[in-house]
Amino acid sequence: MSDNIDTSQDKSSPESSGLNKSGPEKATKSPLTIAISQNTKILALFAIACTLAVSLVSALTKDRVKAQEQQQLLRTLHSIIEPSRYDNDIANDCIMMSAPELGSNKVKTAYIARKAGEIVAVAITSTAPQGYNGNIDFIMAINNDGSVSGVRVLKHQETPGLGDKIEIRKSDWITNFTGKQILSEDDRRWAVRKDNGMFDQFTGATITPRAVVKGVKSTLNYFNQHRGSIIPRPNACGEHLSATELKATISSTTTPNNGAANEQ
Amino acid sequence: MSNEIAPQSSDDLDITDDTEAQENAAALKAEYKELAVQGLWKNNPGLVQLLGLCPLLAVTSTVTNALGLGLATMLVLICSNVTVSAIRHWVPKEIRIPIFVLIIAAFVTCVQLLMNAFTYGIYQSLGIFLPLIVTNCAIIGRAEAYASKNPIKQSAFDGLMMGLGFAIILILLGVIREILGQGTLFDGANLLLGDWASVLRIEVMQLDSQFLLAILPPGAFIAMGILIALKNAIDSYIKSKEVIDTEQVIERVRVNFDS
Repeated sequence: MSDNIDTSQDKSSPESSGLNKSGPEKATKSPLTIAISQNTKILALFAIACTLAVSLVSALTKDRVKAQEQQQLLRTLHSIIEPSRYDNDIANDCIMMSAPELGSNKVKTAYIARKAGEIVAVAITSTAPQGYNGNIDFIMAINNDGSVSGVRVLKHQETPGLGDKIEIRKSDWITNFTGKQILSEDDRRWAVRKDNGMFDQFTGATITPRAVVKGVKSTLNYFNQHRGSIIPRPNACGEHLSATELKATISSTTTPNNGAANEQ
Repeated sequence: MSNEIAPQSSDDLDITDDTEAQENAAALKAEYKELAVQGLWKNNPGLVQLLGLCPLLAVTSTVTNALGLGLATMLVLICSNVTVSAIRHWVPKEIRIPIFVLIIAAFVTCVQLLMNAFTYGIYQSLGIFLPLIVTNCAIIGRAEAYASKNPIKQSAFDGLMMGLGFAIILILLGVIREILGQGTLFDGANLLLGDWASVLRIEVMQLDSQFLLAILPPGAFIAMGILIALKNAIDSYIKSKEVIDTEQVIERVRVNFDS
């Protein structure tokens, strides 16, 4: 090893003094270049081996991860819409939407619960942007009559012990929304008690519940106003469905009156 | 070596072989014992080396999280130690660190995928700290300091002991913080161990309001400081005991001098 370094220093010092003399060096490979190329090969070999191992594990666990995510989604959906109220494959029956009223400019998903083909409720993922510590992602189900079927917080960074009572695991505060209706667009009851509303705040945390109430209200308003234009959108979930949908969109580009009608 | 003497007397050979084997076994046993003592107490990655503090302090708000991260770290540590030890003869010295990092990163990703697949709940509650195991210096430290110089079995054992030492500290911190903060133990154990584990949840004491300091990161620092102080106190107690013993010997010597 030390030999290598010595010769490399010998080689590199005239090289640096004599500017670019790479021409003759190419012909007779210096020990340095040999070492470098060898090390590069070994490193590349390990990189390939590691990538192979990771991709193997990834391929093996892929289905299971997907199933877990689906199960988690179903569990959440069940908690906000009674499973007995619908009979379709709700996790694979969804539409995409994006609106500033939903808290962020990301594309949001809405899952549709149907019973015998009739829509009974829609579960919308949304964001409350004014949390104490950033965005609060939640999912809320809205019944046909415009009342709330249930709300659950999906992701948040609120203070543990104070703001995290919006989680169902920590407190049942979030179930306060169940059955509530919004009477007009700026219904004054839709606020925390401190602001003369009908929802409790937590001791030591007002900002978090205020943000959630505001987010839920805004989402509810958005849905009630745009219901007519949202519901007829084509299904965007499920593997077999998305495949047929792809075909449908392709065919709809050629024959516009065909595909969209089939999807509903 | 002993094979060359074999033709002369086979009885002799057996004896020397036996004693040699015994000596080897004894040395090996001592080595394992030393590894265990180093990993669990003298050189504990959490308490003494203070490595991997970031996940240590961040995820120990409940025992379940602590257990999850502790097991994941231990698994990665054992696997990386075994692999590093297995390839130690083929890796040039100059590029050993990038190769170690590659191996560790690969194992962490695998563990992450597996946890995502089989313990989804705990995967979600550990969040970013699971992939951050890659940057846990305890792992690359063991690869560099021990596994790259020692045979596979010892390296695996070293990984096990170091991982265990780390996990124990994580769990201890988790116990302290969960009891003080929420008054419970094993809250959410079903996320890690399956649905049967929800019976493990213990309500230690009823708290009207949560003790916030224990749940927040500063609580972790304070609890960690107390644990380190405790460890040092025990160490110095043991030392002082030894000193008293040696002092007695010295006294006798002094008496000899005086007379």
